[in-house]
Amino acid sequence: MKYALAIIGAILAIAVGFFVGRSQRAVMPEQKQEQVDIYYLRADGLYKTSSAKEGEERLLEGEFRNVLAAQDKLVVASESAFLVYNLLTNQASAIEPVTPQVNYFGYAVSTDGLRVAYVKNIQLGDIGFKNELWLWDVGSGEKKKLFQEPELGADPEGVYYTLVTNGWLDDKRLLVGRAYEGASFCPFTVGTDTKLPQQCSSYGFEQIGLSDRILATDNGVAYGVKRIVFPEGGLQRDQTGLYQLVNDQKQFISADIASSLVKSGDVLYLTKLVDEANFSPIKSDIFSFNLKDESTNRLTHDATSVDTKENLRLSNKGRFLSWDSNQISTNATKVWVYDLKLNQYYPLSEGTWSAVVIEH
Amino acid sequence: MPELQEEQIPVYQPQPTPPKWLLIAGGFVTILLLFGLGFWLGKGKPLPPKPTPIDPGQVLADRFSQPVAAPGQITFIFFNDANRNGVFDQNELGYSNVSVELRRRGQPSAFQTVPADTQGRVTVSGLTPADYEVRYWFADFDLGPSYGDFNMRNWYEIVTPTGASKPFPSDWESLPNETEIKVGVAEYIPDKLIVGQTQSQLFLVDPTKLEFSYGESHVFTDGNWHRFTLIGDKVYYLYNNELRQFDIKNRLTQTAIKPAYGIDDFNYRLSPDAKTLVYLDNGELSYITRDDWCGQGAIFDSEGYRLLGNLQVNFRDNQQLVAVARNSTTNIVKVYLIGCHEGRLEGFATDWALDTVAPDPVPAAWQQGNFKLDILLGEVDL
Repeated sequence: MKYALAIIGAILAIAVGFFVGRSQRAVMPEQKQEQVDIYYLRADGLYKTSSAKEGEERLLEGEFRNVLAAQDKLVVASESAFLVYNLLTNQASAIEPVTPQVNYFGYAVSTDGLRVAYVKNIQLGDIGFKNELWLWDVGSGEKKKLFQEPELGADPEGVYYTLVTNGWLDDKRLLVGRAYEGASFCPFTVGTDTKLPQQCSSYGFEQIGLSDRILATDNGVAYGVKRIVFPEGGLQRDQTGLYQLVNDQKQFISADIASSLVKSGDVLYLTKLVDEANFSPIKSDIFSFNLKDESTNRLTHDATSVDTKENLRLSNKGRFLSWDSNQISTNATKVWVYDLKLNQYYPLSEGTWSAVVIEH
Repeated sequence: MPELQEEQIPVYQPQPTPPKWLLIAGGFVTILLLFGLGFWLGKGKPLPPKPTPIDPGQVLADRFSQPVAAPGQITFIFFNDANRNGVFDQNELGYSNVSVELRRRGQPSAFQTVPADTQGRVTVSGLTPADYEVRYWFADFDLGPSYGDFNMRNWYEIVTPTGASKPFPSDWESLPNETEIKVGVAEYIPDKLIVGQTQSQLFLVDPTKLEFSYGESHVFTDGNWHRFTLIGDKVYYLYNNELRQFDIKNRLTQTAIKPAYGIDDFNYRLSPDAKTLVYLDNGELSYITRDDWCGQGAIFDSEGYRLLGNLQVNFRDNQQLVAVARNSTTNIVKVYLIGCHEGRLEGFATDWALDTVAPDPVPAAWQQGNFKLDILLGEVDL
């Protein structure tokens, strides 16, 4: 009995020593491996490439026009359907299924990523149609019609226009407009407004010879570019360039003409037209413009007169810019990524567009 | 079995036990040793350091970036692209007077500048693998050669393979991943020039390049006002008793009318075809015609009296002008219609109002960038 007790005591002593010793081993702090995923479109579907894995992976098959990030989901837009791809479950679901009589466009994710506005264009008979603005709640999945415009086409002399959106001014106000030969926009307060005013041009206005368009918003402040496309039209004296719009007050901040723009902190990144005589966004490069000290920095140096740079976007944590280049003669598109930390940029492969870069 | 006697029976005598404290101490030491053994086993070897997390941006950049250009040697060949097609054609020659600058992407300035040799070649070697950018400089931005009374710049530009052009110095651009890079160079001709003058010099300004003038005169050095007259794409001015003409397009200075006078080189007027020069000589309207098409001398009225005035003159066309003038005898101020009559310019009094002859417009000034021209003369398309 004594010996048994002694043996048990010895084992206990060794075990206690073992665990105390184990606890004294050098503990390395756990470092989370960062990961960057790039989602983009090809002609046959939605694709993903990741820093964690070589190659690319097709997530969804189909013909899509645009991809937008909304919280942990991707809004995958096509004209005939509205799909959402859940990044957590890797599952896709149809918010608006394919319907021959309905077209969908104008997808706009709210600044908090919680809601997605979109336009339904519903065919009525042979020539008529109506426009409806809808809202989809990313969290609950509920859909809600915000308003509808009068039916169009009944009057053969009538004007055919479509409802259009141009992003959210803040979490409540959506920029909505009517597009005929050009598009003009005004803020629509979700939850309060029930229709669009007849005169709607306070946040962007286009007419023959003139383009004035909001390209980015940040907490109620809009950033846009006004441009005289045909100066012969008696518009020579109008001020043009990059402006910010605060409480309906337009302040020009530079003479730059850009086709797209994103804001990150105090810095605007823009696809600036190097040769402003062009009517389309060809011959453009990526520039930064610091709103505080008004300094400008040119990030890319490969503007040509045969391709465009458009659809500039910023990754969720602000390290990566992405944009689409399009070669005009062949219509070949390519996604480009600029790593602001490494100060390096590179294209993804040919035939890609509409990238969403997500940093984990 | 024989019985043992009582005194023979061995008596058991227990061993003397160690003191209790010794037992406790021994046990404690044993436990401590066993604990130490367990501790040693438990601690084991130190864990290998965890690998540093890989930067995912670097992973993507390595995967998608073009291979960095660092061939053993890169040769740039600059050529005079006479037909501006961006291709080094057989009949075209190498072009010097340019240089190549290299920097690593993200750096503010060049770490290497290499001028072209007489054959237009620049060779760069020994580049370590990195992400490089290149730009091209035209070496000479001085005012350029003299064309008579004018200096004109010879500016050059780069012609790309698509036939488009870009100015010197070029913007920084990615170094092409090639071992031989051909760069076409052609003379830059502005689309148009702003023509204007200061007190005594004429300036030709390219409105897209306001750092330097494209051309300027060096004819007058006296500090007085001298009138330059722009007609079409030619500039006229009085100098050294002759009317000189500078052809802006062809960069040619020649004499238009000789001899020619203007009392102060400023108060004279030229007909639209630059064949008739009207000036004041002691208050008399005087004139000279090129090739003597209508003689020279004072302008008389149809009665044969000299016309006096302040050079308020408008040419109606190449051969007729109107002037506010005074008959030297009657002292009556009238508007005279003046034309060539019997081999000389003669004035005919009219009943037109004096304001028929528009006064000279107030000279418009022009200022952009570093340039301030006192009198804007006009624009010339090249």
